[in-house]
Amino acid sequence: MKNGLPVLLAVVFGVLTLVGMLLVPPLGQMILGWASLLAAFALLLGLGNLFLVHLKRAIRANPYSLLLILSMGIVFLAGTADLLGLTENDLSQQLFEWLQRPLESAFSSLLAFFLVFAGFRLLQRRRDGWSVLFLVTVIVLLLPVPGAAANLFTVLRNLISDLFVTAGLRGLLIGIALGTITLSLRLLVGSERPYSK
Amino acid sequence: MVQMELSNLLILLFIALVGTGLFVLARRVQKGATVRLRPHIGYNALQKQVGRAVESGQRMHISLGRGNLASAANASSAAALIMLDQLAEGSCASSMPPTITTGDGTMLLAGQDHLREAFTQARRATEFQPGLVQLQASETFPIAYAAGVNHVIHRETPGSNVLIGRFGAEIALMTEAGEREQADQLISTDDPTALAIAYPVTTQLMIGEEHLAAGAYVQGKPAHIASLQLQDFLRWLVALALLLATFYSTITALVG
Repeated sequence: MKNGLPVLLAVVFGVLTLVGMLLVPPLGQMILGWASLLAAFALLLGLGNLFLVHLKRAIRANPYSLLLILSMGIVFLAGTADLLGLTENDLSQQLFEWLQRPLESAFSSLLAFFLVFAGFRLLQRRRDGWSVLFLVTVIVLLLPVPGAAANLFTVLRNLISDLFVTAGLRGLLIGIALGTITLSLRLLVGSERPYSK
Repeated sequence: MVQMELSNLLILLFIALVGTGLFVLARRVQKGATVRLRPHIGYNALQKQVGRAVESGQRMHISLGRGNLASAANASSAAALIMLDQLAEGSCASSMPPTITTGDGTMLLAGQDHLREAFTQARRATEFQPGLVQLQASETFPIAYAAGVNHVIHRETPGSNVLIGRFGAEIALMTEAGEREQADQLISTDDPTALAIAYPVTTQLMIGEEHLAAGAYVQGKPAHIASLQLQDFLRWLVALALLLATFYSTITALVG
């Protein structure tokens, strides 16, 4: 019964949600609301996990973990102060705008460089026609071309983007949709049990 | 109370037909019908990851992505957990448990559950520590998640960097960290953006529906094999429908 209960719950609520979404919308929305609530609690537990892992490291004098613990404390206090009306402006939002967002933007800006490095490594790792085609396609799609060749490259760019890229993407998404349908069916009938070990 | 629109009726009918097809095909496989799966370089590499970790004496790092089990990324995350099972069982038995990171609370709990079970099956239940599975950031902060994973990779210096689940463009940052640590990289995802970034990084790549076929390659149960057969059949149906629709549109346009 201990092993069967999670499966029974998953199947029952899966079928109820399906019936709700198709036939009785309020039922489906209610169950989805419960799922969102559970996901929020899971995130809370995750934050606890993050705190405990880094607290152990901070005690062993890891500077990054100590900084993370301090940051969590400061943001928590800022949010609490906002909630209690102790601040005039939204302090936690300001912390996000002035610290978190610039840091994320700086890290995101590295994406372009890492992608260029990955392109170079591709030619070192795999020297075949597909690698060359991949890199040439990226260059044609991304690089601006001045002068007389601009029109030709625009036509080429539109052809690649509208025909080949769109066709490939649609094929990929159709395959993903079919895989999702069969996996979801297995979840509904209890054949697939990622939630229960 | 009960609202039955035509579209909902068609969806129910489709689900019933697909479900029946799945059941019939699964019974055939159970009764001994032989189905051979196409060899896949990614899944072959997946099976060798544990051996590689033991030989090199370096842990594996596994990242489960930031897909939520209660969202549209459910299927992708479920497939990631199936692959985690295989990796965790082997590595826990060899006393080299992996370091697991995730960008979602539900995947954290599921990952801990799977890892605990792997330790139990390896008769090392007392060695399980919840801290082996770490939440890096919420799914709404992909860059923060990637930054956390980068830190783990540089600190742990794993021999293998396994990224399975739902990712976005932030996967570029994680794969770069793996490259700098000279880790063997295996990526399995169904996100087109992540796939485009993963393609130049590694040949051990499971693309889209290959990621969702994890059950068939890892566990090989009749329902998994039947699902792949059903997918093949539905794919041909979709292709036929697209061709017929294109033909009809062309004829209509020509005739006016």
